[in-house]
Amino acid sequence: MGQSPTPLAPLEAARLIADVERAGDAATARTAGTIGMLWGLLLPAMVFTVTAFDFFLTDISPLLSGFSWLPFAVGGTVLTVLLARDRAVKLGLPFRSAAFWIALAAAPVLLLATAGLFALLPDLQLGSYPLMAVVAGCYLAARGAYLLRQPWGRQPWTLVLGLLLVASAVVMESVGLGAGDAGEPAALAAGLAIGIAYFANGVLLYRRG
Amino acid sequence: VDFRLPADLEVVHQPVRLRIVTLLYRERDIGFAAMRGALDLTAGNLASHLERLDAAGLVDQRRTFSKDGLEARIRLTPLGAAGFQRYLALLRDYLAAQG
Repeated sequence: MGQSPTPLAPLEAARLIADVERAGDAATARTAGTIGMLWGLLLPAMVFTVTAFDFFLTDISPLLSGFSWLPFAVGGTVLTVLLARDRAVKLGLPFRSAAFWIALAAAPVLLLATAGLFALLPDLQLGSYPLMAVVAGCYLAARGAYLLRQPWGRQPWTLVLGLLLVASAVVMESVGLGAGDAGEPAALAAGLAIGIAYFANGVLLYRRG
Repeated sequence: VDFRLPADLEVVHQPVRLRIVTLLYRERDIGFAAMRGALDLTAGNLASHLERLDAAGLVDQRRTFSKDGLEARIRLTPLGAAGFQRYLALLRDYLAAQG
């Protein structure tokens, strides 16, 4: 009782463990990478839409243009849920991954940040884009810190990209690039930077899969 | 130097059961069908190895309702998780000593 029917060499045991580990890591990395690329496309789309509303539709309510990114956030959230569920179903796992909840947090955080900006600071002349870049950067940095603890996700680049986003947004605020005539180009640049950071992070993750 | 294991860990030191415990250690809780697919085992083979691990108190098998009906799910018990950690430590020490 308890004896192995076939002798198992220690080196072979280590290889078997590594093989099983690698297979699951690949599936998780591909899902996380796809989610990263998805938000890499959606976040600049949100900023571009808000900018276009502001630029072309000057007579509409600021609240309407301020929340024109909401459909993208809702769509991205739904797709994120579906991707995470797909991975869970494929692996027969319960649907309660910590990585999923962290990914999902992006949309409500952006919603609250923009709502707070419009509701609490109605006289603020600065655009919401630097704030969005700070929120997106903080989220990416937090995700990078989380990934560093994962066996498949030792990605200092995620953390670096997030911190760069935050730093660039702070610089943008301090020199007034988010306001006035410079608002639109700054918004587009911030949106593009956010998108590239998220998309690059997604590609890096996906390629590990 | 021989690779010696305590008697309670010998049940893990077998190719199929080692892969089962490794998968459970990573995923904590997994469906029978998904485990069968992930490890490329027949249902009978997987069930017999799970019985051995269950008898040793390392895994817990139960049936839960899912949208497809009753589903068998397997998870590592606290004893199983602690045992696998000890197994990994012994294996790591042995391989390090071998250089």
